[in-house]
Amino acid sequence: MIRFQSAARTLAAAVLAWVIASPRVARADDETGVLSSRHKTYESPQRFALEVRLGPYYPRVDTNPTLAQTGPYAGPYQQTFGTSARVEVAGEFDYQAYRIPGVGTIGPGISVGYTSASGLAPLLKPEGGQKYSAETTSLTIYPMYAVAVLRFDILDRAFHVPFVPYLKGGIGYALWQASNSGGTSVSSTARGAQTNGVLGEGATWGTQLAVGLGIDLNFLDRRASQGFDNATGVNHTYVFGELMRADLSGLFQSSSHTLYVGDYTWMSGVAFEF
Amino acid sequence: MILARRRSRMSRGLLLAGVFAGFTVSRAASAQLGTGTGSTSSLGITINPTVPRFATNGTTPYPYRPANLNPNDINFQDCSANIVLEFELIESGLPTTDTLQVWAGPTDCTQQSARVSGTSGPFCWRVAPNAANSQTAAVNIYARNLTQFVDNTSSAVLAYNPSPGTTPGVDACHTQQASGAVGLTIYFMFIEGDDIMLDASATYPLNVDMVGPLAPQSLTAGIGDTLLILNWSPQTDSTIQGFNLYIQDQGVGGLGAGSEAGSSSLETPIYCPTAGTTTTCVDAGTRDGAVIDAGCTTTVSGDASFSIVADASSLMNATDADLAKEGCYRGAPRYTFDAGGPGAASCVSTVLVDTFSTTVTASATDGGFVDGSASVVVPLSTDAGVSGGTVGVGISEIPDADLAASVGGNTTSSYTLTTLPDGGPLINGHQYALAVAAFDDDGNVGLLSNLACQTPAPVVDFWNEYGRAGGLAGGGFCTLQGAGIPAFGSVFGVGVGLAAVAFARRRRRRNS
Repeated sequence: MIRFQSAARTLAAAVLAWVIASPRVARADDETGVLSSRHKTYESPQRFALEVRLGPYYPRVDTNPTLAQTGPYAGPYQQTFGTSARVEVAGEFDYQAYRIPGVGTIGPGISVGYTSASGLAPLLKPEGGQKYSAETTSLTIYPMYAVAVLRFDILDRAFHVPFVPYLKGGIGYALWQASNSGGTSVSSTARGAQTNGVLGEGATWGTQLAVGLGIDLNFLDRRASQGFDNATGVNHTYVFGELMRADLSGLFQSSSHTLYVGDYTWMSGVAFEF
Repeated sequence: MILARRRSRMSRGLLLAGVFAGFTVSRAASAQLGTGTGSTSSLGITINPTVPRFATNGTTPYPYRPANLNPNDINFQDCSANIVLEFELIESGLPTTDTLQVWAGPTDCTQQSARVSGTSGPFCWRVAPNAANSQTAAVNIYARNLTQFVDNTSSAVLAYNPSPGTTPGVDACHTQQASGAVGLTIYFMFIEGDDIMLDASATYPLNVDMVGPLAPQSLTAGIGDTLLILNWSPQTDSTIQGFNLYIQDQGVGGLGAGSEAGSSSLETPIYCPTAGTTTTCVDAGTRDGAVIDAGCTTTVSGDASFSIVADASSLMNATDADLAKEGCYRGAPRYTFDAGGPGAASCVSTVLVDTFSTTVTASATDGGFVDGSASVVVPLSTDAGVSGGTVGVGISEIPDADLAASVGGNTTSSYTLTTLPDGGPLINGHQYALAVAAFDDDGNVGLLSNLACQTPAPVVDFWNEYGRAGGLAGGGFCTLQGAGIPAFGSVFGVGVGLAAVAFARRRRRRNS
């Protein structure tokens, strides 16, 4: 009910703003500065941020020191999927719990992503010049993290410089699944103490760090962004880029029993504060 | 009593038939009634809406197709099995001198012009022997009596008079010249002693569809680890409901090497081409470049591969008219030539070329497999005008016993096959013969695709590659689930979650 009333208020404010802003005469008056001294533009409350992002992703599976580093079995990921990075698509939701005066906002954020690499599985024994089977083998990863997000938006708010640097740091976690044309992979050979096939799925913990820079697009058209805020509650719209270190190498997990699925990479996307 | 018992047996399963059957009951035209025997206003006949189906012996219930495959139509399999449709009629007030006549056709059979020669068609034909009038009558109609004159507009159909105990041969299932359902109506008519005047009639409409879809093209089978990945190109045909996938275990090295593993339980062995087998015979007649002519001959040699000489792949692009000219019918069973096997030539369920004859000379046989060589002569009756034809050694009849999977969809073009028809897994190192056929909305299975032969083999997927490199991860999404994995990771995760909850509660308490 409260939410509904809030929405109704927002809508009413948007309509009012539109009515006020539309007539040419009024705008002309405003351009003379007559009204600016008496009117303060309305800005909706800002508590959250939503990011949609994508970027190259190459899981650092082969960097696990417990895997063979030389010989025919070294680099299992590269041997199977090659050296090309795949794309990760992710979304992040932040709660801007506190505004630090003169600095910016800080609060927790969570993210869920998706990336997958696939290719044809080679035959164990190539025959007649045929090296690859028709089977598809793939590794699917769902990288996630929970971080603290600090956004330095003082430049934007106080000086209308549309750059908002930010920092993120926290815990990373990923679910992953190795599969083939028959479904989830099962190892055909004994592994360690296990004599039966091991299911190709698991989870990896790690740390998550990122530093990035957002560009507030409001500066392109402040009147339009004001209307957008009034209509939808979105205060700021950003495009951003960041350097990300997803060190998913088994936080408090044994290296030999951990599939390293993190990556040090860059991401970019759009973000909305509302 | 027998009738009642049958109806009781069938009532549950066959109620559907009545529900879907749009039967109608009508009176004869008033003029006919007026000139008849002075029938009263209560005269008439009704049909029990439940029409049970039985095997050709008339007693064994015939299984119904699923509801999405038009169970009340007559498809090729119904015709091939020559099933019996049992109608129960209830008559009231009709003269005892009337005769019950049962006709069927694409037109109004109550009109004399449809039942008398010397007029222009289309005509109807009798589908059951005449019977004397009785208050309750069970009329059995064989499927082939219904199908034998489909697409036949000649007045010759009027001469047919079914007699008890005899039914047309399987050729009656090859009468349809184009794909799609043909609408027929069965007329139950009480006719006076002059064999012309109609006192009352009832009708039962049904569709006949005996032509299956065109063959899928370009079937390939890719190697997998205890699986095979099939890909094909489906034909454009709106009646296609899905595809049947057939697989036959040829054993290690294939049947051609002398192994007959897995063939004992098979309806029709499929043979993968082997070395020395001539698999094509194109235009061997007058060599006019693009047309199959009479006298096409192909030769196979070695211990294998003679069983079929049919024109599966080449005719799939032919028009229905071409097929009809040549006596080939899509969806109809193919002529199976199995010279080395028991019974030699067989025609169990399908005929692709019914004017087709074969001769084979086999130097020796070993339980159904030709040793040495065999020559197969395929004298097609006329120049069919079919372009691009080949006569090849391939698959013959639809190998029903080898049906491994059915997949729905009009445009489905791939499937990963992991199990054999008996539910067992595919075995690495065994050669498998594979084929795909589409089935339509009446359950007709169309022509088989080209034959694909492939042997599953071990592959190294990422997970195995990772294991070979020494990796020990895995076991399940829940880290506690993974055997050998330290539980600390999970404990850590649970701890983080608990801490978050505790923090949130503490904050809420402080705010309040």
